[in-house]
Parts: sequence; C-alpha cells; structure tokens
Amino acid sequence: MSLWIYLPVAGNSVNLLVLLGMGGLVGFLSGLFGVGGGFLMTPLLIMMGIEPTIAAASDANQIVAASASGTYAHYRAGSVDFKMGVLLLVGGVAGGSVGVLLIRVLRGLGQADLFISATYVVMLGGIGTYMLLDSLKELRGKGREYVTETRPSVWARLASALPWRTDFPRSRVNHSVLMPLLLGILVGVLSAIMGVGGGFIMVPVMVYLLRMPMHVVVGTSLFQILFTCANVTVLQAAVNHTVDFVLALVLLIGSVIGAQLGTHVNKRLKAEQLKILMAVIVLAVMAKMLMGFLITPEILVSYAGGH
Amino acid sequence: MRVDAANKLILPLVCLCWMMPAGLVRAQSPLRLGSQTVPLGMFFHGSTVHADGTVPAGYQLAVVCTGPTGELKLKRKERVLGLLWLTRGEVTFARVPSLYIVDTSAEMDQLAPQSTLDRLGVGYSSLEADATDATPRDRRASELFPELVRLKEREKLFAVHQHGVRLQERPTGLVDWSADIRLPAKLLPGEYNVRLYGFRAGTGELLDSRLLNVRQVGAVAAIHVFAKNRGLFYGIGAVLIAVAVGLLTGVAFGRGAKGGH
Repeated sequence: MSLWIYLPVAGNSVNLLVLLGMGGLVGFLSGLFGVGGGFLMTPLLIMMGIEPTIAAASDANQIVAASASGTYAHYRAGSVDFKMGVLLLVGGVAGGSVGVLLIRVLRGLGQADLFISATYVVMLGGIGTYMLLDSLKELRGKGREYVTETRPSVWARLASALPWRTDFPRSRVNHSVLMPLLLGILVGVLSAIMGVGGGFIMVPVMVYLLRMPMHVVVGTSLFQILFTCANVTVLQAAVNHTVDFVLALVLLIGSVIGAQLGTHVNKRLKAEQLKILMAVIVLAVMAKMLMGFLITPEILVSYAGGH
Repeated sequence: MRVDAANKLILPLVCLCWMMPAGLVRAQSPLRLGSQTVPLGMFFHGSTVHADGTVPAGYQLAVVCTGPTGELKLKRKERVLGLLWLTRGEVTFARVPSLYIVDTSAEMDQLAPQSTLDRLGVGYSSLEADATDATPRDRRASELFPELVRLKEREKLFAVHQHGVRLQERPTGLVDWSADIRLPAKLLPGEYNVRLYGFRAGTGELLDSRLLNVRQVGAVAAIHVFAKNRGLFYGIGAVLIAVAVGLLTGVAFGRGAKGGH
C-alpha cells in the first residue's frame, strides 16, 4: 500500500506517516496545554507544500476533533468550567468581529502587516517571559498568593469593582460576569489580528487574570476552542471551499491520540511545570517569528492566506 | 443516400488503415503521448508521461508541457526600517501556467536566439510578458518575476530539463525522439498541453501538439465535487465527523484507562 495520499481539495500528495506524526505531536500539545496548536501546525503544512488558505482551514477542522477528544477527557476528570467557557466564547466571538474590522482599516492604511508582526512579538514575548518568571518564582517557594493576599494589585481592585458578581464553582473563583466577557473580547480581537485560534493567549488570561486553577484552564480552553474551530471550519467550507477533509482526517487520527496522551501527562505534571513548559514553547515560537523577520527570506514572494 | 455514399468511402479507408503495418502509421506522427489521461486517484504521487515521435533529421527539439493558465496573486516581502522583512501587500501576475515543464535535446541557448524562444513560448523568459501584463499594470511584477519562478521551481511545478529529449537517427533521414515528462505530486486537474517545437538554422517552429487530460477519479473526484458544490453541508459533515472521532477516541481511551486500573 502506498504511503502517499492525494488530497482532493489541496491538489497535492503528502506522506501519510509524516501527517500522522504531525497530528500526534500537535494533539499532544493540545491535550497538555489546552492550545489548539494552529500556530504550529499551519506553518508545518505550508512547509509541506499545502496552500496557506487550505492549510489553515483544514487545520481548524482537525482541531475540532482534538479539542472534542481533549474536552471529553477533561470533562470526565471534572476540569471543564462550562459557565466560564461559554462567557469567554461569547466575548471571543464579539471580539473576533471587532478584530476583523480593525485589520480591514489597517490594511487600508497599508500598516496592517507591521501592526500584526509587532502584536505577535510583543504578545508572545510578554506572555512567555511573564509565565516563565512567575513559574520559576513559584517553584522556588516565593508564592504569588502571599503577595496578592497582603496587597491587592490594581487589577484585583479593578476586577472587584465590577458589578454582577457570580460564583464559578468549578474554578473556585468569584468574578463579575463582565470579566470573562471583556477578556473574551480582548482575546478575540488579538486572535483575529494575529490570525490564530487564540488558545495560547487565552490560557495565560485564565491563569493570571481570572485566577483559575491550571488544570481547569486547560479543559475550559479546549471546550472554547472546539466551538471556535467548528465555526471556522463550516464558514471556510461554505464560503471559500478551502477545507480538505482528507487532510484533516489523517491529521485528526494522529491528533486525537496525541490529545489523550497529552491529557494523561497533564494530570501527572504540577501546575508550575506546565506553565514553564508552556512559557518555553511560547518563547520559542516568538524567537522563530523574530528570526523570520530578521533573516533575509530565501524567496521574496509567497502564497497568500494562512496564519 | 448521401450517408450511404459517405459510408461506402469511409469503410474502405478504415479497413486500409487497419491493415497497414502499425510502424508505418506511427512513423508519420511527430508527437505521441504514452497516455492521454493522467488519473488523480487517492494514492497519486506524481507521474511520468512518456512522449515520443519521429521528425525529419536536422532538428533540435523542445517538448513543452503547460497547465491551465490563470491570474496569480502572491504576498511580497520587503525590508522595513532597514531591519525587518515584512509582507508589504500583494503582487499580481496576470497569466501564469499552473505547470510549465520543458525538456530539450540541447542546451537552451543552442536551440535558437532568445527572441525566437520567447516568441514560441520556450523557456521561463517567454512567460514574463504574459505574467507581467496585468491591468492595471503592477510594476513590481517584472521585478519579482524571477522570485515567482523560484517559488514554482521549489514546488517542482516549473522545470527545465536540458538534454531531457533523447534523439536517435534512422538511416532514412528521419529521427526518432523520446522524453519522459515528469509531473509533480502537486498537480491540479485540468486540460494540459504538450507541444513539440523543432529548431534548425536558428529558426523554430511548432511541429505538433497534444492535449493531456489530468482528472480526479474515484473518491478524490467525489470529495472534490462535494466540497465545491455543497460547501455548507460538506463543512457541517466535516465538523460532525471530527467531533464523533474525537469523542469516540475519548471514550475508548477512558475505558482503556479504567481497565488498566
């Protein structure tokens, strides 16, 4: 039997084992950290010769499977906060629409790509560095809780001033309903600008701004990504015809298995260890992007679309 | 009555052709393709189409295989602030073939002067005029045309194989030639064109051409048609299957974990 498979929509032939391996790796990261993995998978698919628009749309399709698998595993473990997830999702959808409009305005001004690139480097660099330093501090025993309990931060005071407070029992926090909605909008705007699912922005937001426990963060993030990517898949298939289901199917077979393994490892690691690993990956992606901006490209043109 | 008369003429002619030695019929054809159709099935991974024929002695040859032609928009990168390489808008190429593969019997510059090659459409530079003829004119298209060629070469969609055509002289003043046209794994369906050019004494001419039908077959064709014609249902189906596979794997792993404990 041939190890190569021809993709009907992409119009390209790819190696089955390589695709399964890529799906497994990204699924593992998805289950481990609660990220969709689009920021990793889409560039890999483009490197294999898949057109960027098809790579991004088909990747969204396979993330649906990985996040469904991961969400189910976390649901069984009792680590999905559905109430928080729905509020973040509603905010994310609204923020995504605002972000798309913002990009259109910036494209008109000819500054969109500079703005997107700067957002990427600042966001990834800022989040990665903060997570890394904070986790190292916690590992050394200087707990963040001690500092926050004695002197509430500006953020904590601002958050406590918002109306319509409610309990989120699964996350063991009490916040205003507006908090997850507003943060969802913020992440939605950034996701639309950066052209990614937003998992690696949402996870730090839930950990540091919503103060949710790390294990609930991962399950809740996957729950939200499931709906975001399902929406993207249907829209891309209906409007642009860019979803290659054969590509997505091979990737998702690898990714659902990887997601289960990732979830398994997630339960065995301490929250600080997870945060350090996540921080290292975010910083590595930032470093790769920065290098891409600094090193003269091999070819000065590329296909449009993708993340 | 007229139909009967025509039948009376055609039937003996067909019988005559059928009775002629196969070699005699084949000898008259300057260009033959080993296959008129390239099927894109589920396990397609590139293909080679054998081409051969017979031409009068004294010619150097070029076989040019081109895919469907269309507009191509690409992102272009420029240096910003003297430091960062960023995407700065798009460049539009008016007419670019999806595939362009040339096999020649000699070095390209020995076939004919550049102006002749450009006029006939042999070699990359012959594509530039069409590619940069966008309306409104995109001045960057000319600057970036070599980059377009490098991008397509990297995908094996553009290639020039000098000495890819083999010649074998016959004592009868004819030359048999053959070439293998290598089609890459990244191949879109459509009508492709294979043209044979002959060159002698600094001039060139089109000797023959054939159509090559590249088409999707079986499950590949069915999925492609469904994706194009029923996009919404295709998308919903893709999501439902993905969710089902995800949940089933979750259940399977969950049971496995229980059993293990």
